Amino acid sequence: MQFAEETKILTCILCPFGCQLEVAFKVDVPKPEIVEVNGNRCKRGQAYAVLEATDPRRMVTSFVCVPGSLEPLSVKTAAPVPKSQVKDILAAIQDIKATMPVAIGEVLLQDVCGTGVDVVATKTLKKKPPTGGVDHETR
Amino acid sequence: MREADGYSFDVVVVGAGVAGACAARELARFAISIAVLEAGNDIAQGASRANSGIVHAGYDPMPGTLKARFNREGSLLHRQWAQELGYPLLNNGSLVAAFSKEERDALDALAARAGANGVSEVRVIGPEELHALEPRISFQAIAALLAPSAALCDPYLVTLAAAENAAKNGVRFFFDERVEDVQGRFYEGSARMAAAASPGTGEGFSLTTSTGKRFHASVVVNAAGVYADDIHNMLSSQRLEIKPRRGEYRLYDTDLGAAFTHTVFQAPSPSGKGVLITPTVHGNLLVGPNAVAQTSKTDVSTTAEGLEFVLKTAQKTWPDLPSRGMIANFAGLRASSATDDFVLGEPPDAPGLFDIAAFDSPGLSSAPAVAAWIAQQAALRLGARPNPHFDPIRKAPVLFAQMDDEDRAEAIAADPRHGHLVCRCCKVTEADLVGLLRGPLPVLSLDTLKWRSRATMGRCHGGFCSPEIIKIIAREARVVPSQLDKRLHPSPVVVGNRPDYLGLCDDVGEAAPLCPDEGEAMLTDACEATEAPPCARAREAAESGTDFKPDAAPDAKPDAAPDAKPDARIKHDPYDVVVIGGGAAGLAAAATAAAQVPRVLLIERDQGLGGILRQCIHNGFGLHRFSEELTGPEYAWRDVEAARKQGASLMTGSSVLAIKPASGTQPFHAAIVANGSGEHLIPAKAVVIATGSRERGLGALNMAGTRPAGVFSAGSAQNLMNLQGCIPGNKAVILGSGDIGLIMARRMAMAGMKVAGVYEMLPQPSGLRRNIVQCLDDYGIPLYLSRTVVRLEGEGRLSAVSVAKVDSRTLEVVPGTEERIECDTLLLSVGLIPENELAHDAGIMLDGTTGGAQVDNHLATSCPGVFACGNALHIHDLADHASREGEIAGTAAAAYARDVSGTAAAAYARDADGTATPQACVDGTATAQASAGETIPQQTEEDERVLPQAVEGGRISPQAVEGGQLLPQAGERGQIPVRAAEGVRYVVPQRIDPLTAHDETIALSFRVTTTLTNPRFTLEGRTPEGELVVIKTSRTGIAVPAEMIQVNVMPEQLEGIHELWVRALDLPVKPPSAPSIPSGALHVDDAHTPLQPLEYRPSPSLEGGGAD
Repeated sequence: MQFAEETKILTCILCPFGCQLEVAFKVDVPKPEIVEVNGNRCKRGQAYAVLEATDPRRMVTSFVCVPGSLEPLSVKTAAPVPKSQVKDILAAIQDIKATMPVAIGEVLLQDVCGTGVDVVATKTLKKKPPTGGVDHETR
Repeated sequence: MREADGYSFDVVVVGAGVAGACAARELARFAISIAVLEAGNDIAQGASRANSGIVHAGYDPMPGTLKARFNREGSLLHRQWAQELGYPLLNNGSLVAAFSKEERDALDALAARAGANGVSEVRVIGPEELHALEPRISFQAIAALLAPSAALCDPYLVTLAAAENAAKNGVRFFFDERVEDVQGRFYEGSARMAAAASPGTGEGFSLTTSTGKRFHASVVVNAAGVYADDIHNMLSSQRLEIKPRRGEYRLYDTDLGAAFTHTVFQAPSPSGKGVLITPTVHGNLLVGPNAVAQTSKTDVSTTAEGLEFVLKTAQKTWPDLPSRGMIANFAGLRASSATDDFVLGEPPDAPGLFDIAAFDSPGLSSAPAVAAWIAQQAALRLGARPNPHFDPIRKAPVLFAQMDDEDRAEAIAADPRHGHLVCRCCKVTEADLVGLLRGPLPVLSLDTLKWRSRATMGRCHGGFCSPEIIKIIAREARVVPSQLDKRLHPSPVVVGNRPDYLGLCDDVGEAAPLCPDEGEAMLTDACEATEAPPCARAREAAESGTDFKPDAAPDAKPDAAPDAKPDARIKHDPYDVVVIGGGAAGLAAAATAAAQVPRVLLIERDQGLGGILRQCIHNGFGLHRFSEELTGPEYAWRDVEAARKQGASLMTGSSVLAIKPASGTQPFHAAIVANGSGEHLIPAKAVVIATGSRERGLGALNMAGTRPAGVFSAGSAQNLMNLQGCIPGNKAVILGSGDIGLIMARRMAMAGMKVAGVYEMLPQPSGLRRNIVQCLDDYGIPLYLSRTVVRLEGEGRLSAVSVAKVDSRTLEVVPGTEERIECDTLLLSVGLIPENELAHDAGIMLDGTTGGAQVDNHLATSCPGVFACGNALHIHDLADHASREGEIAGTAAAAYARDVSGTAAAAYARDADGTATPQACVDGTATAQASAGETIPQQTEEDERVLPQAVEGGRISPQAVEGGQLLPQAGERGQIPVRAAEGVRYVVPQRIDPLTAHDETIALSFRVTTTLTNPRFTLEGRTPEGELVVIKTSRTGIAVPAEMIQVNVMPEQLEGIHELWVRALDLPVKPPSAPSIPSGALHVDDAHTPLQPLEYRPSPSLEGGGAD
């Protein structure tokens, strides 16, 4: 009898080829390990497959509505976060209450969803003194 | 006169089309109360909106008919009305072209009919005269009927003018009031019946509308278009039947507007009436219509077959009529009857009812005359006296686009919102829109504003301005975007907006100060404020009553600013470099230029800097340039900071209306700029065009079906979401797999919208692989290749699209493969087009393939001292690359500016002795007066990289400096043209400056025509003897049309070359045992092995990737 290895298909994003990578895992061990990557045309594809198959991460970018500014405040996670948590993180971002002024890079939410990653502002929003409007400049 | 209290009037006009509006205007000449009930939410909602816009000469109707009489009278009256009411009427004349002997004979019959109808000047002309009048007409045309009195109008504007004049004279307009029932109570046979009628006695008419209102009137004018039979038949037993006939049109870009000056019909033949080709009063070209009988009175959708028929039939007149280049397609319904004549006046059994029915062609031409006649009849019936207060004059709003420079300056002074250009294509300002929103007739839909102002009617199809217009409407009319209809009610432009939207939309279009010295819009300014900048002087001059015209160069009028010191520096106070556009390329150009010359000004139309980066809140920017992954706003912020640090002046909220190139009378280039402080002329030694690109819009796709709300360009949806917090719809289909579409698929999914899929016409995706995985795969959004959207459904908001398969070889839709997908939102991500209106108008040579300027390797355009970069030059795949190009342009522009300074200094030095005229530039180039050696400015080592004067050892061919010319000129001998060969769609630059320094790398950017799985790129040079030499070969792992490819070459490699070709070939794929290492980056590796005999093959087929 053979114990079957589990496989996963990924699309490599490193170049326009978009190789379909087949990643085989050995699962009859305490911790699943990658035993083989197939379908890659180059070495970089192998490295990508290992990362994407074991710990896929994404930057999350979104925006938050801020009282007094029609232009929403754009935000991001300061580092890539586990792909599986993106949905929760988006929900957490929605609940951020920010008030002007906000400066680019300002931390709006620490350690979002326990990822150890902060959510930061990616633009500056501040009140315009004479009209009370918003300074749209990306300062 | 009956008091118009409540809903009782002397006359109710049913329908606010051209017939109803004109009748209302003429009725207002009498002392009676009048109401117009309109089923739609705007005037001209039916046939009046969608027709050919022709005021016919009147030869066509059969003699003795109502059509013959009123066409002749109406066509004459239109001239008077156009004057009184201020609508455009263009007397262009018409031709009926004959293509056979039979048709030639038919022309004689028409000419005879013209005589019978009392239409003069109509005559048959022969082929010579015909082709002299219309050089583009087919040589198959052997004769034509010329009717010089035919004219063009905009039927919407005719209707609007009449309606506004009516409103001004007291006529009340009710919109969204569809008449559902009419009751009439008549005295049998009594002629005075209606005059004596009053609602209290139950005499006259009672009309019930869709909102449940009840209107009373003594007289009803039935101008209900295709519904006129319904109204008529409720009151008269003499049955009337309107048979709607749909006509489909193709509307082309203004590029083609000058193709014909006359309206060209085709002679009627047994095979049909043919279609017409005509310019429009707005400068477009209109082609159509066909004639399709149908039962529906609402269906004005277009069909692929109908549009194809129109194209093919029109090509008989103009064989070169293109299938592309369209702004829109549309259909209208003719309200025809079986008798082929108008039905006008009172039916015998319904006195008091006045029909204007079966009012198909020439209804528009006849409308003024019919209106006058009907009004007379109705007044007789009512025994009405003339209205002593009637004012026949309507002062049409003068829009910014129609003003000359002086008027514009005044208009901005009176209302700074005129300095805020909202629609750049049609030059519509915020003040224009505000004025129209407060006009005599209400604006109840986005399209109403479009029709009245022309905003969104330009080439960007509203991609840029509609989000801004939505904001202005919200502020002025207090209608939030989710309540704002696009056209019909209900057709909301978006489905959701912030609850506090109205309170936040007040910040649109505030006036930005012009000059760096003056205000906060400027982030920083390099120049010491010891001297007034030119624009401030302009205003000072204006205030002191002296003349400072924008298009007059300061030193052409040395007395322009008499209070200024007679100091050459002040007279010649141009910026060294003016950069137009504050996006990725422009910011980089400004920062780079400011590092090298002191006076650099960047002009940005938006209130904020960063261009489209501001709304690109996703990550993925800066990987190449900053080696880290940034979001769009962060990336822009870095460049703004850099530009500030280098001392560039950054001016926002300011639109460049034109670039005036330097000339004999004007030593410097000049940007004409409108902003809140006025219209200004800003002189510049060098100009960088970084105006970015616009999205291909719906109109360009020639998609059949309806024109509902819910169709967005990906960028405008991105703007509405990311900069205004709106939710565009509930369920979206995305057409085109461009990166913006993919990014927006994810954004919409994140916002909780359902995304049905991305449909790509080509067999391969257009966007980056990374975006397909991270935007689509991550969110379970399917990507369908070789599929396209062919039809839209939905009267108000989009309700479904039809998608069909596309043959991957011919790229034609495969008939019978249509599939219907319900959705309320369609996003278009179907390509970008360089925005080059300014360059085009300045006479700069453009490249037909890229859509951008033709440039050399220093990004110099055909106009010396004007440079182009970024998406305005050619479409980039990454912002990083656009920025890099901006750096090149900025450096080259700074070098040019410095050179002009040196030349000018010498010229002034001579001028001081009175020996020469001060001239920095003549005909846009440095003069030969300043010959080499005499005036070369100080250079640093760094300058040598780009300065054309760095000739020693840097020149490629000896003839480059012949004639002592300092600066290169387009097309000059010695320029090496760069051309795209097989497999390559285009190459930028299109030519290489012969004075390129020997150690300066020349970067060639190009795109392949099709996917190459194992590409080899060869640079081939042609020697003067015609010999072909391979200069170098290079490769990437794979090449796709979506990604730009760059190959570098050194000037010394081009020695002795007169022409350069870039060729792309696909080699057979190597066996998998020897995997290639794709670079992934866009710079390609030089081939490792020396040139081997490549296997030359014909260009690969469109499928690509088939080699094995």
